[in-house]
Amino acid sequence: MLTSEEALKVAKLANLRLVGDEVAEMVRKLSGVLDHINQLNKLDTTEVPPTSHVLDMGNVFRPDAVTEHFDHKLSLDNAPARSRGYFSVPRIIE
Amino acid sequence: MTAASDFSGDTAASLSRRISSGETSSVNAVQKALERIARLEPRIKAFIKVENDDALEEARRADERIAKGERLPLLGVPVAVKDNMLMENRVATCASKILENFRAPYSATAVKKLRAAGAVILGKTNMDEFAMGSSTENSAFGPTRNPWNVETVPGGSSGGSAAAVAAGYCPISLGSDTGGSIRQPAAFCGVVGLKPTYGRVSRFGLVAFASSLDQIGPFGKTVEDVALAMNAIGGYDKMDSTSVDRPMPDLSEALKKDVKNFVVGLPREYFVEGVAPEVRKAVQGAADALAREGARIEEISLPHTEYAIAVYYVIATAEASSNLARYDGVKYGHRSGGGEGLEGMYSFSRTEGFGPEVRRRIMLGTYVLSSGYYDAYYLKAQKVRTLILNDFREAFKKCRVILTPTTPTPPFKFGEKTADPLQMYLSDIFTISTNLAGIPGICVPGGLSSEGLPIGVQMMAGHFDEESLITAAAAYERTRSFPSPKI
Repeated sequence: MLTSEEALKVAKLANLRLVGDEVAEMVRKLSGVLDHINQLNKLDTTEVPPTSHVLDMGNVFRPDAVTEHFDHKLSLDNAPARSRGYFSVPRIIE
Repeated sequence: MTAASDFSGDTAASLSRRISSGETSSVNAVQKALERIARLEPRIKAFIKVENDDALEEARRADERIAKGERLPLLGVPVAVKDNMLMENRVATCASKILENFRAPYSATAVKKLRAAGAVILGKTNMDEFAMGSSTENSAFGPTRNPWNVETVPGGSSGGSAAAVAAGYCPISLGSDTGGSIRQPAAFCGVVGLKPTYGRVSRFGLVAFASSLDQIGPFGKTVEDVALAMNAIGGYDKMDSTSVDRPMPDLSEALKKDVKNFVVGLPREYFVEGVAPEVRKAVQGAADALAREGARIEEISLPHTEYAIAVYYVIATAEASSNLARYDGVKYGHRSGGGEGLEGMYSFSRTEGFGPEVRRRIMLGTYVLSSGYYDAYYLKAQKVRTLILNDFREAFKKCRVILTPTTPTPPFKFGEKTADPLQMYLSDIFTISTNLAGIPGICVPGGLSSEGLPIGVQMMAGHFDEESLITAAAAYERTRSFPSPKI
């Protein structure tokens, strides 16, 4: 079903590390679930529209106006690293 | 202390009356609840965090309000909240290492509304990490144990909230239900659990798992308590764009109605191989009871039932992979010291912070959304979701409520289903369709197995018809008695 190469590619897309025995374990467990999912192919759905939302709702709009919001301190309170009032991340540009 | 000297036998309705009448105080009720928690938690582990001081302070304020003559449906009543709902300035871990030190900057609407109805929040309950699981075995902080038998799981993902009510800590708690996470633990713990219609309760401040399926709902010992809690938390909220702007009916009124003109559907696809005979018997017992109350029982068909799990594990994981992309170690949550550069920091932080089941679901969701697989998996699943929704639309033309088992078996033992994820997923086979269709579902205790473990029966109704669910569930509840666990 799923190959080791595919699993490694998906892990990269998902920003997850997959190393050593974890690759085979992931392939085995996901393949079992994908086998089950493949039973959907028994159904002909050519004429069936997809459902992304169960209720008949359109877009919801509000006026573009400032309302309740977090202040600077509250926004940064949970940050694992901050510097001079900003979120701090590892260097991106050399 | 004996059971009689605390309030573990009380419902929210009876406790609220005792507090309001001055027979006891909120401080006394909360104090007794905290003592019971301190005594039983080493065995049950329903909570991630108990807020002793805050709860007592809130109880004192409730007593002051009562002294001034204020009356509210839940004033002074202790409750518990699942740890994926935000309470301002309190931890909200989602039972994950990645949020272990996260403090919520605001409160969920459902939490605010529960407090506005007077409830006193004792603390945050245990769950499967990010609500992904059916046993609480995926909690990063260890599993909750079933108060009926500590060798068996309480169900999940809202296992802590279900166990808190079953253990008599508090008469009401809140959970969330994405594929059965309220109803399945309600069945396993022998309590009532309601998943409302999608859009009925605001999801603002609920940590997102699968946004088109997630819904907050209450647990209680009785249908009446669940109706009271639902009255408190339901209704439109402008902070959630999927919350629906229509009036919330008073569900207390629905309790008083009878089922005389009800047609109750029994879908033949829910009585298949793999359903334990004791579970069938409980559902048949409920059907017979409703028939004696005047309902007409009819066999119906929901032909696409067998595809529900496959659809769910595409849609739920796809949505989860998007929702959980936000945990990158930048604005909040765990940041790893390992890894090279920004990308390395992301992947080390996520891999260290998420448990194995969460990582698997992110992987599956990323795969089904990835280029080349989107049509084959995600679009296909959305189309079959339409077929499942249409099954229910057809069924509700013929019947008012649908009666089914909640789970195929009574509660299972720890470790029984952890080796193979699919086996764990299959324990939600009867609850998942409800979320895919967005309709409400309730689980009511339906009896005990030969081993003395609870068995639940499930009822479903059409969109926004919580009233029929409450009427049918209460009518059934009145026909039978159900014990409390001996702990």
